[in-house]
Amino acid sequence: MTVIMNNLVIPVGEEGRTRALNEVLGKLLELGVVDAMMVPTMVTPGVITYLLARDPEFARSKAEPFAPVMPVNGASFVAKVVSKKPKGKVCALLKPCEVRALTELVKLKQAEADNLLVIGIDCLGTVARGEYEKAYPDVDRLSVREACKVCLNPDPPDTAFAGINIGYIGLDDGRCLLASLSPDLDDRIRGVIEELGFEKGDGLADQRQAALAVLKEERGNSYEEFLRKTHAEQDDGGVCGIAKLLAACVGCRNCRVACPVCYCRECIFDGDVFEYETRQLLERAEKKGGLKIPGETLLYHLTRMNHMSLSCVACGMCEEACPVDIRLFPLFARIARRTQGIMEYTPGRSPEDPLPFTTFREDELEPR
Amino acid sequence: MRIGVFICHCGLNIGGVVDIPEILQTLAGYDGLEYVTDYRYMCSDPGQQVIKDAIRDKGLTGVVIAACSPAMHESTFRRTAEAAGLNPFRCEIANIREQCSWPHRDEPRRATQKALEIIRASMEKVRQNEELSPVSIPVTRQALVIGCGIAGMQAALDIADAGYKVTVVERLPYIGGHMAQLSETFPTLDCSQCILTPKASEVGSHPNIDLFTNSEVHAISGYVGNFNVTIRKKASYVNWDICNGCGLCMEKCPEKTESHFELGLATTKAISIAFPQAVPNRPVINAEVCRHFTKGKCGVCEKVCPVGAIDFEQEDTFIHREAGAIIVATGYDLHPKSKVGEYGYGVVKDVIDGLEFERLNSASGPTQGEIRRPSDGKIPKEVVFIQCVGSRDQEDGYPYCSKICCMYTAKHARLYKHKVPDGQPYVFYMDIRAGGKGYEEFVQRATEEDGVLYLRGRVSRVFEENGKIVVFGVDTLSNKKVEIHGDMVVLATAIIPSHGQTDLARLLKISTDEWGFLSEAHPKLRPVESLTRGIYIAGCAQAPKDIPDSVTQASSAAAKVLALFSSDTLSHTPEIAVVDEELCRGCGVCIEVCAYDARTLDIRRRVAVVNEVLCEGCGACQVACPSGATYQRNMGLAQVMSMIDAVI
Ligand SMILES: Cc1cc2nc3c(=O)[nH]c(=O)nc-3n(C[C@H](O)[C@H](O)[C@H](O)COP(=O)(O)OP(=O)(O)OC[C@H]3O[C@@H](n4cnc5c(N)ncnc54)[C@H](O)[C@@H]3O)c2cc1C
Ligand code: SF4
Ligand code: SF4
Ligand code: SF4
Repeated sequence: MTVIMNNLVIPVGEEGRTRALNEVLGKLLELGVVDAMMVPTMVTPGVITYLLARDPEFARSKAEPFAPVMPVNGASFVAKVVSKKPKGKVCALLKPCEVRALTELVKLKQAEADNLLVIGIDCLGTVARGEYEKAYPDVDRLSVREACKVCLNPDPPDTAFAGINIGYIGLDDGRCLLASLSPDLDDRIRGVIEELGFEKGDGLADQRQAALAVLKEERGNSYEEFLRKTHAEQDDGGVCGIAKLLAACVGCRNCRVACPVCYCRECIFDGDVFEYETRQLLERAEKKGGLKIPGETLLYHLTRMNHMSLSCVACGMCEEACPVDIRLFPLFARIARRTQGIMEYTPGRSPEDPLPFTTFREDELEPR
Repeated sequence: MRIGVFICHCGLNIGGVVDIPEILQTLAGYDGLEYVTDYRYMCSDPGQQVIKDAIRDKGLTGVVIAACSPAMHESTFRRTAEAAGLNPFRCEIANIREQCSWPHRDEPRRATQKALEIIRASMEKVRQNEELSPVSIPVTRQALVIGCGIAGMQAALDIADAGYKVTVVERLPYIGGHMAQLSETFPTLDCSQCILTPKASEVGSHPNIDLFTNSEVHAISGYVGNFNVTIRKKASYVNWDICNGCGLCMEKCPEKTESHFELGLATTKAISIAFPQAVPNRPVINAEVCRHFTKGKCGVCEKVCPVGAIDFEQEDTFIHREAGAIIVATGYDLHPKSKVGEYGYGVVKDVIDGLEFERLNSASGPTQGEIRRPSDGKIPKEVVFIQCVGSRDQEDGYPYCSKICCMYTAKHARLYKHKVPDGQPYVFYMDIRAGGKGYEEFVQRATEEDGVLYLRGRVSRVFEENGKIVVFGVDTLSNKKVEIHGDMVVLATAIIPSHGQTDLARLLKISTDEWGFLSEAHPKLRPVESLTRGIYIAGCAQAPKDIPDSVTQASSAAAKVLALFSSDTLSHTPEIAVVDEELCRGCGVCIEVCAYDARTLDIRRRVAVVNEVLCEGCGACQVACPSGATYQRNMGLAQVMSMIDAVI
């Protein structure tokens, strides 16, 4: 599935790439082709959150599209903003893993893609939120998160939304940005961008693709290496091994709150089903001689894995959220790779790919 | 909850393996247990009395019957409980026979432990069971019959005669199916048309039958008692309401074409009635060959029709009907010519199949009933019949037996001999299967009275040489190679499901076997029901069979429909899925996994909704829903967790 994009070059002047891109973002709001825009912003020095801007000046002056931090996978916020089809057009500027998570949410009917403009942007990795805040503004020496080091998709997918992708990987030292417009992009938006008079950038697009190919190959290798290494560390005999890994879990459910594709209103583990009666708890304790509290740790994690591993976009936010530093990312990355492989499913690629839960292939569970 | 547990010995089936006295002892004192007892045969009248008495005397609010599979006696015991005033859905079966004493016969200790766990799990379940009452479904007392061969006709007539309206949909322009093409029928050798035509005209004129020929089922929705059908009536380009069937149009039409009814052995016109006795007796224009449609000029029929019935502008029309029950009787096809190349079929003109032989032998057929071979019209002096062509053939055909070929081949060989007394029929066969009243005698007469030569063995090759058809085979009884230089070869090709049957089955959401025959709900005990309630099957659509069997099955399917129509409401199990709207996020995953189309998404409220009647309580949605927002009544997640707790 390849999509022919219309590539334009956004020149970057003295004031830098943030300024250049924000100018375009501001224009979209100013000319009324989008009515609201969700962008990362810096609320206090070193602290990045999201902003739903309606005033073009807000977008121009406050957007931080290149900040290398992802406090939350923004897909969850977009889903909140467009849980119903909005009256006007809502735009969201998202990193590749956010775009992919949003695609999953759209398939799961948790977000309305009609009247939504997604602007995806290349990402070379984000650093841990806390480290960024502490080091700010001296952030260049920080290294990116583990999940980002092995991220296989530093570019937003062309096939996910009829939107715009902003590319910079492989382009000359930040002297320009590449705006790739999807062929199905809303005509009014296309009109506004084309009117800005940017030059055609097919050559640059090829240059970026070449750089991406090299980068992805490197990432692929580090990913394999990472899986091998963590497999050796973590795989300690099936279920018992996983139980050991999760031993410190306090059952706060932060991981599921941080997970962009965990979309339940209330986690089933917080509902009546797992609210045991005194009698049951005592009986359980009696049978085993003693009962670990908090209970159902393994069941909770296995259930979550069962529910979301197929849609897991490997953003690693679960691990970021864990107060007791459980190594959730490698665990989910390894599981997701297997389940997604079995179902031949790439989450976030396109809203057209059916969710594996909803389809059936006779051979899908054959041993392999 | 005051729970009573009743343990059945099932003679020695359970009691011989599981240590019931020990279970009685261990259970005593279990939380909520009010009463526990055992009995030799719980399902017997005195056994049921034990249950009833205990419910009344001990004031039980839930019972567990530890016995055989719920598939056997769940409904019996639920009725028993109800008779004693307990809500039947507060009665649960703990299966300690099929799932315990039988498979663990050799390990009585562990079987006893397992039985105890199964009983405890059921107690946990019943502890949380709600009192339920069945869902009531209205029934539209009208039937739909799809396919109008002998099976469809019989079913339609039986239902119509009982006083209910029947809509019949037949895709050909005429009714009768394959039986209309047969000449004489085994085992009595009476003329097929003579017994078919009166029935066909009865179908055509029955006040309770609404007949749609040249029509197909286009769409179907709904469920037992309440199906909605859209019928596509294909354009015939003749207004049948005013046509009087005079046939002038056919006489004058200048365009000839192969007759499908005659299987290509004769020609017909672009506007035609398939055969003289056809019901309804109305012509259809074949637009693929009609000059008006292919060349844009002609219109002879339009000119000669005395009533102005020709209507070149006619289009397909769509008709809606309601039905409470459906009978599918879409019949069969024969294994196609192209697949039996080694027997020269489709290449050598005088290699024909059984139905073609029927046409040659038919008084109204292309040769007026004289056996003349297709290539040169000569009377064949030696005819070789080959059985099991494509049937019982693991490699290139179908592993099953087509069931009727032994009989019709004996019939063909005999009919041939009656018409060509100096001719010699040979039959290559694998086995002769002539089970049926008067069937074996019929085959015996073929050899004894009519001198048919039966050769046991397979034919390896059939080819043409010097105007003769050479058949190479082996006689496995004498172990000799056989080479016959005959004049005509008749292949008993396999019976296969009619083309399009799998698509129809998909439309109706009923299942087929791997060959495409419709699956019955139970091979022995429910042979005319599909697995979908309200849809029944009859005739060769289910499996190859002869006319008497097709008629029998059709009448049984009709009897099932009549039983369904005996009341204007039906009851449906209340043990079905329910959505907790507070928890549902409207993701729709459950909707896709529901095999019964019982779920829809309420777009406005963004929650899943269950159609109570369609839900079969399979539980797939409960498994698929990540939020635990959908659950099955009396099988909720909390219940399942407690049941697991009781076991581990
Ligand atoms: C060569 C030969 C000789 C035979 N001789 C004898 C014999 O002597 N004695 C005997 O007892 N049996 C005989 N049989 C068997 C007999 O033909 C069948 O038992 C009988 O015709 C089965 O009837 P049916 O109604 O099930 O199927 P069919 O006769 O096939 O009728 C099915 C009908 O359904 C229609 N239909 C199919 N699909 C659709 C659809 N999707 N929508 C609407 N309509 C549809 C078809 O057009 C057809 O009219 C013989 C069979 C063969 C092949
Ligand atoms: S763990 Fe499962 S049930 Fe809980 S929120 Fe995630 S997907 Fe939903
Ligand atoms: S965030 Fe950490 S502690 Fe909290 S539930 Fe998840 S794994 Fe357990
Ligand atoms: S799967 Fe669960 S949450 Fe999703 S629509 Fe169905 S019932 Fe609602």
